Amino acid sequence: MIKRWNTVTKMGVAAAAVLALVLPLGACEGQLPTATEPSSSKATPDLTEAQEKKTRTKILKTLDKADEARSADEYKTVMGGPQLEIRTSQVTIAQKSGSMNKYATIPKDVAQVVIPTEDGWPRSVFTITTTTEDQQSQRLLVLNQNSARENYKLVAMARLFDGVSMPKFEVPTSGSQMGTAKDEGLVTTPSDALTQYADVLQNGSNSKYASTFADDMLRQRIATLTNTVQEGIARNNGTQEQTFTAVPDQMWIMRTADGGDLVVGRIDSVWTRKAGDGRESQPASDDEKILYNSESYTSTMKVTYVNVVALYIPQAADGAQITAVGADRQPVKVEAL
Amino acid sequence: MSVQEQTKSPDQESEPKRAARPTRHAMIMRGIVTPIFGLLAVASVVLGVLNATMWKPSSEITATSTIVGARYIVTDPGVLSLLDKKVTLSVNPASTKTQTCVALGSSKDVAGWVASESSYMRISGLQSWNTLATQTGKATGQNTATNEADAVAFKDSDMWSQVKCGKNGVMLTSEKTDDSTMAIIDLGKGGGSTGATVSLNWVRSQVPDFAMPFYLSGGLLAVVAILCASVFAMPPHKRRKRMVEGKATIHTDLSFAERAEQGLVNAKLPESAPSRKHRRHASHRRGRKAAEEESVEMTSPVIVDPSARNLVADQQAQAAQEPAQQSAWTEPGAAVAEHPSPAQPLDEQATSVITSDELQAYFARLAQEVEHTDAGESNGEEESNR
Repeated sequence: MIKRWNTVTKMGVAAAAVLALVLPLGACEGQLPTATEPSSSKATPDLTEAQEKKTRTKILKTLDKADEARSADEYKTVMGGPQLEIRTSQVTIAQKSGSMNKYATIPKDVAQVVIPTEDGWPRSVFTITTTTEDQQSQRLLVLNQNSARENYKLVAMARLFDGVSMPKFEVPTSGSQMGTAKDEGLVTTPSDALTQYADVLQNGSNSKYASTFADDMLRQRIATLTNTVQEGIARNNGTQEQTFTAVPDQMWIMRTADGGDLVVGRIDSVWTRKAGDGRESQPASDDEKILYNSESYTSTMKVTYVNVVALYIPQAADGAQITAVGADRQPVKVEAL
Repeated sequence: MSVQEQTKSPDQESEPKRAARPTRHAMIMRGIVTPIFGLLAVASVVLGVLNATMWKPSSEITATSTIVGARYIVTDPGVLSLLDKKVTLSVNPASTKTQTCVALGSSKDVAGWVASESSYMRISGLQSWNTLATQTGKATGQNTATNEADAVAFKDSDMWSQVKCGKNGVMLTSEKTDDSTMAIIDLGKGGGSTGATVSLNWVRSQVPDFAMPFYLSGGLLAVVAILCASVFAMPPHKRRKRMVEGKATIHTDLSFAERAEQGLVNAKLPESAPSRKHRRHASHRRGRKAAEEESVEMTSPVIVDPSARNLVADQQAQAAQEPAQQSAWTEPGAAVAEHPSPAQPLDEQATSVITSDELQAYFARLAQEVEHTDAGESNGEEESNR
């Protein structure tokens, strides 16, 4: 009997406890949620593909308008770096020649977008377009955002060499890491690579870095051009000198999926041609001629070129060579000295 | 016990029919415990209904705060998607002099934009169900120098996935907000000193369901109440639950089925096994005293299958052991006391169709029942004598 009484008491207590627990639950909105910071440490891409497309389309539209108006003023809001100088030169030439240089074309469609995961600024997006309508090679575009309160600008455009094999990048949804000018573990650091490549362009096969770089179209063309001009100049005892200077401040680097770096950088070059025997030194191309815009020549002509080169620097390994994958080259200033 | 006795009505006490009266246990269960559970069940269901109707958590939540002190107001990561993926942000500036803009962007873009501000306001969450919690954010100092000529207006930045501007208040709806999406509000130059009323509005697609637990517990309590009124009110021995209180001795004997399997049917038991006594079903006739004895001196009886018996052999054996057998057959009590002898041929295990363990359990139960009936009777006598 005592046992039973205990049971009854226990039941009563339990019932009271249940009521006490249950009654306060009436009439409430539930627990107030608190915001939790996303805990994933994984780096997120700075842009979505859609955002990149929106930004790029906006830039290219502004570019088209300015091209049609043959006005370089509009360029400044959407372009910067070497591309601004190249394009300004191209539009100046177009004002005279009547049409934009065919190499200035930038296709609207893209083959690949490389989006950075950089948390701070500057941020660079590398975009590889399709081939142009007239079957020119693909363009590598570099869109750069210098700070949070600036917008993306097209800072560099390189025309990829025919048949070149591009390194692979992470997909846009996971994003690629941006490289720095001092990245280690590679054949050379990006800033050294740019300087060394400038030396190779200047000295050709005589450069001490010639073997560090695989042979490419830009090297071949510059060598051929120099030789052709040299033949002519040599006949009248003239001289020519071409100096290439890397501009490490204008360099954009993206890590590739295999751990290498793709570097897009600017190399300025000055080509000084002196005619001998009291002759006049004349422009070497139509572009130079339009830029010079004068008929009074002297014995010396100094032409400033802006070059954009895209170099793939693989990880350091036996026999690994840096490969130039694309380039652009445009005279921007022609002077008679 | 005394309480229970006091609650009894006089007519019940004088009731001559003792057998028809419910036991004290049944009265407690039906008179007290069942109503308690019944009331609890009703209360639970009522609370459940209230939670599903009047007290139902509102699906639409609007939290508002007036924020003054800085030009830029940002929401912390996760605040926009706090209650639902779809959120509407409304900003009503106190002054209509400047243009107010609202934009959505990723957390690092928003942080980058405000990094060059000396301070900004943060909406860090909900203070209550209708108030936003705010904090003052400090500049991170990680800002990159911006070229003044290249700086873009807030609304022209490439970083925002959505942006809306207006002078009299802006309302912006984010449809698929993820955790890293943040809202940034630009009150315009000088707008920070007058401030703005910011409100976030969510329509919760999933409202917490507080009614279901009440319905469930109500159902459970109702079941318990019914059980209390029926099964738990019965005296324990009337329940069909098998309660084995006597501890059955474990025998090495195999069951009939096992033996048949091993081809041992009709074979002799191993010598080590203790053999059975002859008494069966005796307790019914012999009443309480014998039963008591039996519960103490329980041994394992056997079921004898006469058809399986070799009567001739039996008779011979009986003749040989006349005196011992005599006492075993005629005086059951004495036979129980007698120690089982392995030599007795009559206790052939071959005749057993129930295992000895089961039998033992049965006897234990029987003994207990008898005990209970006796106890009940004596109680009843006590009560009626008062």
